[in-house]
Amino acid sequence: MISFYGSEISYFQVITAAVFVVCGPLVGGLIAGFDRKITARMQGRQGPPVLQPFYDVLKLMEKEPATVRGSQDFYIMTSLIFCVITGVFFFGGGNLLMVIFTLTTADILLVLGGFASNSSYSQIGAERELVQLMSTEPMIILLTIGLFLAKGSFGVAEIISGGPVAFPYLAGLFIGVLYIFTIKLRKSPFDLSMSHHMHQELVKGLTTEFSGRTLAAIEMMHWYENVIFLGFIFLFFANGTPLWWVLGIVVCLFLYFVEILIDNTYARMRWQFTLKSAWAVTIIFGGANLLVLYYLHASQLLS
Amino acid sequence: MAYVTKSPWVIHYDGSSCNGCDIEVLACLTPMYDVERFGIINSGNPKHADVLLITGSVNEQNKPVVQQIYDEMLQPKVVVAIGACACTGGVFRECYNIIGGADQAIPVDVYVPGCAARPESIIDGVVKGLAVLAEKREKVAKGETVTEGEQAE
Amino acid sequence: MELLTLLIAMPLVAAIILLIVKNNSIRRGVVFTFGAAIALLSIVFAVIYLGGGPIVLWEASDSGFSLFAGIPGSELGEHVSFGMFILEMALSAIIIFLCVRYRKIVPLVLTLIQVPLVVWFEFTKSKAAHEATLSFVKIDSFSIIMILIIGVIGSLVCVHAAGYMKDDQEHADHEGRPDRRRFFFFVMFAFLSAMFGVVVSDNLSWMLFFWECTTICSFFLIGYTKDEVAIKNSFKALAYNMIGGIAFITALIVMASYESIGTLSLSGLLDYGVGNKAMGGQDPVVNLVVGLLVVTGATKAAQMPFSTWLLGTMVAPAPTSALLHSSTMVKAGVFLIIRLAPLLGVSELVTINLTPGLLTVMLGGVTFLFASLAMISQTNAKRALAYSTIANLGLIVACAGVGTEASVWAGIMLIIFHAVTKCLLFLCVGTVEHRIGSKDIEEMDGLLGKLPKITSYMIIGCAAMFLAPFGMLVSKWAALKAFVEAGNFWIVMFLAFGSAVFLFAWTKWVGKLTAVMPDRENLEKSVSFEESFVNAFLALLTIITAVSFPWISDGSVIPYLNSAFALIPTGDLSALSKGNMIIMVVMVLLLIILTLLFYGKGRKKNTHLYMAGAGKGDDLTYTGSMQKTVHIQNRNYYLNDIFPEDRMVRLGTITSAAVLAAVAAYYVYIGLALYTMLASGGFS
Repeated sequence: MISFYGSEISYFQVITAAVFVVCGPLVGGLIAGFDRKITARMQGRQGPPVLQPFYDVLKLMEKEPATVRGSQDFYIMTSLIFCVITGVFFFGGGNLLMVIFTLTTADILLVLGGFASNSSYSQIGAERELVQLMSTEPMIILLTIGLFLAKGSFGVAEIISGGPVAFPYLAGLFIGVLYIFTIKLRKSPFDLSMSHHMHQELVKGLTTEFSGRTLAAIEMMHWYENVIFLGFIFLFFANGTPLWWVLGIVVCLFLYFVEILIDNTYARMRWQFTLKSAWAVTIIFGGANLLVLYYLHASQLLS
Repeated sequence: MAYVTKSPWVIHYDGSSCNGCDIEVLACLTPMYDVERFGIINSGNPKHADVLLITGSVNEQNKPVVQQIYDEMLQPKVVVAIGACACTGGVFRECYNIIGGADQAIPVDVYVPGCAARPESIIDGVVKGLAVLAEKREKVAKGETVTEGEQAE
Repeated sequence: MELLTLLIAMPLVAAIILLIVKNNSIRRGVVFTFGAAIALLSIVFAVIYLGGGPIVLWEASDSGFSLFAGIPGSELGEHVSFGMFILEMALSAIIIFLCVRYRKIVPLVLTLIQVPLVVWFEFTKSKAAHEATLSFVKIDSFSIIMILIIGVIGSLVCVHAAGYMKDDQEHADHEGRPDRRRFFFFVMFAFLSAMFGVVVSDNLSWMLFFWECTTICSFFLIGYTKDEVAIKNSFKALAYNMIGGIAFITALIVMASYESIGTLSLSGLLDYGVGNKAMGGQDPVVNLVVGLLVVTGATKAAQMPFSTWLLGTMVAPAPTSALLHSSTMVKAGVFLIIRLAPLLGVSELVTINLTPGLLTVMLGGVTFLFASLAMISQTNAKRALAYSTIANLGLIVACAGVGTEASVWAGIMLIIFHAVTKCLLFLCVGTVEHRIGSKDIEEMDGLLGKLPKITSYMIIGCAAMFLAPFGMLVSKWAALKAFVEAGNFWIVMFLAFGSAVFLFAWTKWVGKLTAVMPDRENLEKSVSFEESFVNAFLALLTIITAVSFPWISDGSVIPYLNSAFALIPTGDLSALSKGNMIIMVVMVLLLIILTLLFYGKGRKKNTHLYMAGAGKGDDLTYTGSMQKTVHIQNRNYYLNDIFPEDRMVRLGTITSAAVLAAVAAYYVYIGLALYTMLASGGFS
């Protein structure tokens, strides 16, 4: 145990945080690789090798370094650092609110990177990324509150190590989180800001003016982020017993598969729809669930 | 190791042409040919791309555009001229505003003949371009300046 | 007590000197000297008293002045009260005169309602109430925080104004406006004096006097330019604050008439209410008084439905806005409400007795959400800042309404961070406005090239407003946690959506500021010394507060909470664990270090913007159709069709007015019930 200003941090937490820093991009990259493979199969293609995302990133590292404005790379690198810090908080069992706020900061820095070059394409991408952030933020805050009400703590370590399985209490929130999961993964129909696949009306949106290592950093950040979001889904199921741990991981993988399916079957939506629908889902499912939790369970859980 | 050969991202530009070659380029992405097998992604952004696929001939108006796109691509990069028009100016060669093939504007590394070029030969051309890319990558890694416009095929 | 008197008198002296001085350079010297002196004095005051428990400086037995050692404090206090009454009548006379002169009916009617109330109170209730009042002037850690904010930030604003008003007068000469700067500086300093008075008065009738003084000062400041809009808005502000004034005097009358309270001192009210609460009981009359005082605070803090006056203040020069938004005026409102926090609270089951807490939370929450929504569509920087002020004040008010130690901790931290940051932003916008001739956010294209330093300060300020790991966000986090723990569903929903909106509204502005455009002409040299000094100092102060907040909390907020909630502890003192606070500080440091080390330092090859191959090579223009040269113009999203300002404000106003009306109707109901059932009750 390490004592840090009155909070006890176990060595296990330190190790899981370190594992995240090292293995986060490996897992994230592999998921992206399978994603591309499965996508190709869904489209009747053979698809790239599973390791393709790693090849891409390594290739980008090899490219000639260049930038439009010296400052824009700063935001991206800082953003990556904050994203890693977020993961360290999350997988180190830290406070969930701290996790979401740090993650938001990482996203904001990414957006500022898009603004910094004053490029029209990347600015519109940045603006859309902001809309995506605004669409998802309430749901994520409600999720942490729901977890608090169900488990009695904001600490990730406490949430995963014991108590009841949160899922039955948070079924409404779960639906809401699924909805914003697509937005957060920046997948079609909500790949507004960076337009993957062949959606190229903004060239490459936010990432248009980035190249080489900086682009690789954005890609890595995306991997880290995806792992963290899968972690959020995992929180619905973890209660400290191996059975639920396994089940949680299986559900995470299954949901990712569903996301790939949605990605391949839906056309792009407009940002107005993204915002309105995400908020509607948040109010209807998240709000209702929270209301029920407050009035049915809060009194006994809080006491 | 030259990872660039494992993940060549392409950008395609269509000059003065009948658009036939351009359609064939896009045909390469279909399940029939599936160039993503080789890690090839069609990117609309020169800053992200490694390979410039140029179809059609170059005229006075699009010459600066082609040059600018080429300049914005970062080393190592290759240019693959696809189809008769991009190689020589093709049937448009004698037109008053046509300068000629892509090599009149920018250095071209690989020429893919055909009217229109078949997807198989386009893929073949890109793969030939990969060898050039690897070579250039070596030079970039060593810090040498890259000489433009080695020819193949 | 002498030191405190000096603190209140010093700005007044400065004000009078500045009313006389005509020469601009002498004026700048006077402003600088007195600004420094006031700031130093408030720091000295803080050093002497900070960290200890509450101290009554002027009590019933002793006025605290060695000069009047023999005279009982309450007797002297009565004389002072009478003096204040005379002054207040004089001020009311001026107001009535101005209302008649400018044909403003509403403020006139409100004044004519208020004056008889004050007179009646003075001649029937005041004497007995003063005799029963035990403490007149009382300071604790919270008032010292306020003194520091007023003393340091307020004087910085005045110093900034010395530079700003020189430029402003040049514009004014151009427009043919007369030079009213002497009056301007007089009011600015008088304002500081009145604010000191508000935060140290424990006798509520004294606080009311200073309260009215701030109302009148702000009235004059808003109407400074004397054009049509300014006059209209100044009377609007006056009218709204008058409503607060009437609620205040009504609260005083109820307090003085009700035997169980009897006293006029705020601490007496709090002691009585907290004592009741600790025993598990509540007194409906106390709740009525608290409810009235909350309404008073809400008008001054520009809470919906009383928010529109604060938007009107945007016609005044930038230092006025900075003063009203950061250290004075609106902060007086939240100060009073937070003072009442121990008597508020929503954590127990909703019963009749908790209505003031519920009222406060709902007003604050509704205001936070709808002001944030209205902020999105603002292209005018000052209006955007105004809405963000209203929203943040809403959050603070909601914190007070939740009334747990953790939420009040968050509320006080928000006051501190908001004061520093908002002041910085207003002053920067003012400086920028004079340089680029516009306060439109969309005109701030490439500002980083034109005014690199000022823009950097603005970026720091904006980041500090909404980004983790800076103070405002940390406080918001603490507030959220406190709200969740207190178990109020609605406020949590308001906060979840409101913060998402806040994020959007701020980031697009910061994005505009961070965008780098080549070849901008540097205008920094034309910025006056006062302005660049104050802006730099405030930027530094923003960072210092962000880095040192765990210790600010230990040194000032926690001692206040310890004493205020001594009888009714509500769990954790601060919402955040010390470990998390330290992590936040480390992250701020990390961000600073990264910026200093790496910002713009990469030695990479420079390429051009992607413009589909048609760029002209200067990253500003491209070749359009017909070979025309076209400038690129980037504009932000303002979501006008989704969140139109007028509709958002109307929605917020209607919702909050409905809440207010419901609570008022409830009070009437309770009152009727009391009169019919307990006709012989406690009313004298």
